[in-house]
Amino acid sequence: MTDVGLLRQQIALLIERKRYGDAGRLLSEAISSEPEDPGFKLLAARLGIATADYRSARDNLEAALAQHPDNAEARQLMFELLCETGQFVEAEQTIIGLLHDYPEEAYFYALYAALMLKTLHIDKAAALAREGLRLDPTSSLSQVISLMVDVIEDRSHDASRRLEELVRENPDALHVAWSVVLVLQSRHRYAEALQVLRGIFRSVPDDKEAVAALIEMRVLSHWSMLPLTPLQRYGWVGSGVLWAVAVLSVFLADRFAPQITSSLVVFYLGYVVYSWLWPPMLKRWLSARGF
Amino acid sequence: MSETIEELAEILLRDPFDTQARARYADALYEAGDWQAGLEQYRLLCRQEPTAAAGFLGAARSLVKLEDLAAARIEYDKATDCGDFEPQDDLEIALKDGPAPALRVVGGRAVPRSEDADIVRISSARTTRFVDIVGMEDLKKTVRLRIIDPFLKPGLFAKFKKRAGGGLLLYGPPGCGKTLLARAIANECDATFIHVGISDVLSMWIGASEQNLRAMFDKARAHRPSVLFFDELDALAYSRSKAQSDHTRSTVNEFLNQLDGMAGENEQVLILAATNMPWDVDPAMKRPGRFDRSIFVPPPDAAARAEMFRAKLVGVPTKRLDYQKLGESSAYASGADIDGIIEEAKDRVLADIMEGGEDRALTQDDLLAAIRDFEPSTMDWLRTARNLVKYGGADKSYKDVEAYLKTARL
Amino acid sequence: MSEDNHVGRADLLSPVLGETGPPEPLFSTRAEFLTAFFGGPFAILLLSGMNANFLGRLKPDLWRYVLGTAASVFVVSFLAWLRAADPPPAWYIDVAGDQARQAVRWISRLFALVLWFLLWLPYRRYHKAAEVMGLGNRNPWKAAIASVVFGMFVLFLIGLNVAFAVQGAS
Repeated sequence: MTDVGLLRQQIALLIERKRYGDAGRLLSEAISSEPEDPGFKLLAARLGIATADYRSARDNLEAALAQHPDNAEARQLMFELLCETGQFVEAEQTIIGLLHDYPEEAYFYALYAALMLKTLHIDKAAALAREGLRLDPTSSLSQVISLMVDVIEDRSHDASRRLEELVRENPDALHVAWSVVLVLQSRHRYAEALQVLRGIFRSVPDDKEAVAALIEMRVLSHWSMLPLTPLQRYGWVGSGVLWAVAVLSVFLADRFAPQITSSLVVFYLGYVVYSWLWPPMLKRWLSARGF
Repeated sequence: MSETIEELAEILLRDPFDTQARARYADALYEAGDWQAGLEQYRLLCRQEPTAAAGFLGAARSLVKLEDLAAARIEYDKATDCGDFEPQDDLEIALKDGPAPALRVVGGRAVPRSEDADIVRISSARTTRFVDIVGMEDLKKTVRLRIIDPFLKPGLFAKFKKRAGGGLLLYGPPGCGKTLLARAIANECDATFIHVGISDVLSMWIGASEQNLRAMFDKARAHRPSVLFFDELDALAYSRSKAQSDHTRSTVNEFLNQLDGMAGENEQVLILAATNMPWDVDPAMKRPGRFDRSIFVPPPDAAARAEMFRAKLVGVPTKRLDYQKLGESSAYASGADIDGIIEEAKDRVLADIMEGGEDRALTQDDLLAAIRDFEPSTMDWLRTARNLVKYGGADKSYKDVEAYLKTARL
Repeated sequence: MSEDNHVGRADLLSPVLGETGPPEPLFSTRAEFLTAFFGGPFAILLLSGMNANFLGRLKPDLWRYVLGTAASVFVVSFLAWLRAADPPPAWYIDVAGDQARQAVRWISRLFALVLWFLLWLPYRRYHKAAEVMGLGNRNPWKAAIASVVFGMFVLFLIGLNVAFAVQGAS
């Protein structure tokens, strides 16, 4: 490998390790000595995306693409940048262009599937992930997208099978752990999901999403949430059914056992108040106190 | 035969691949005091003859003259890899007390290095001992009991089935003295100190990382008693679950092999590591027999901060400073933060003077105002650590942090 | 954002976002439920219609909303007649007993919730996908309040018409 190649490798590894300051310093040295090197421009774009400096990322990508319009890495990074900045229409055009040029690249299908899922085109996401898996059965991104579709469509058996495959192939990867949480949560196994989430959180304690998910899961798995199980399990449909059952029982009680009507109303109102007030209070309490 | 610079230049114009002429041309430029031009020629020579030490040595000498000692050290290290290398006393002396290589563009293999490169003997003028470290009294006591005494008196501790050596991880917010502490530990242990910094790590990422890492451990074994210190461990032993590259996996696997090997093969080798982000270190590194002991290095306490203010303001015109008050007011500030505070206060004074005020000294108010406008750089780290302690569950890896956060009321 | 349930391999590389524009966040299930609960059938028809529009499915699913509106007009008119009729029909008194007046309100609300469920069910996967992808929801307050006010106003109009009709008939 040439010196430039080695340097690119160093910078890429620094970015992977989130050592953005060090990577930035090396990059500015490298770019000042090799201003026309497209590899450094791509690394600068990667750094820009990682640090949310999207303007710099775009400038570098445009410069790299001006030199080499067909560069697949640059186009892939442009796709990632467009997704990050919410320019989904342009992102779709970019990834379709890539797929036309690289029709056998499973990873690009997976990226397109992720975009489709993000834009709620579930069937197309599923089809793209399937195509990605057909081309490369070990593609973990395609597997994760398929698993998400299975969870969305309530196909818990398929989700579990896919999860097993993911865990078998890549047991310690963070994205696999997140997939485990997703499947466990969809099966309402909150205590187990909490344990897995804790493991994830310990490795990314600076991730705000992980903190929020952990607190949410602790609330769901708290013993005091047990009375609210029907609402947790069936959501707002459960609330509607409970309301209908309550109204019907009060109506029937009023007709056939009026002496218990008031107790029934108080119980029902108490339950409603509990279900409304307790979860947010518990969340605040657990956030402040820890667990 | 002695040729002039012009004659040599002409020879090279006719035949740019005449390496002997290029070597003579570079030497002539160096002798004439044109070190920059000489350096360029030596570097061309290195490209033409990458296996010969002469070019690298010439480049190193030029860089010494140009006062870029860190780069000179890298060139010298490259020379050590060449078959015809012979130690050069002038360069050894010039580079011995130079600064550690800063982060810079590194090409080629930098490790393994010459036998004693990067090794600071206890007798060196650059020694740091515990007495030189301001504050951290509890921490020093803990380190002495848990690390230094077992290392110095292995017989006594062996009786109680306590082993010397092994791994110790120092972690905490940036700029709070982990590296300084590691250096002091090595000196207190009266051991050879081998420092593996971020620039070495960068070099290790090039080519055969596993071999480079193994060479580092071999060097520590060869210099027993020794302290092998990995600064910024997270860069070298980055969590495999987060890494995308196979490179990371193979490096961590080799690191684990070496650490496991240490327990059986080597007594009297203490492996220290420091990191700002212990959560980014591969969890396997923290298992028994590896970095199974960890010590939290907190931000300096009020007394230490007061002492830092006192030390850093020596030679600066000041007026009636209450160092104790300054220390108390700058809670959670690291050493680097205190530098920042002082600079900010100086800027205020200079701005006043420039705006037509009289010359005046730095006052308590200037410093306190600078402190008020300053967000300690340790806060992000402490907030993350607080989250870990609050929500991390039964994992007791961070119990020192928990105790600190309680006392600091964070 | 409309899509057929089966995407053939030939369609894989046809762009879909260009047709409908970038996606917009939805009103949450909770917002829809509460709008139905407090605003009645017309309120939920309006809010759910907005969500269908955000999903790009209003056109293909318009029949659901037409059917829902027709059913709502029928049920609400019938309930308004039950309330306005003096005396109410005997069969109704037999079933509802003393709760005859209140029961109309409960049935109306129950109908609104059933309508919400029927409108929500086909879009449940989109709500779940948004949740799984962490996309977040649109702030519902203004739209939900407007829908509730609209729903109440339509209920009031229908009630008034039916009451006049009942009075005229008697």
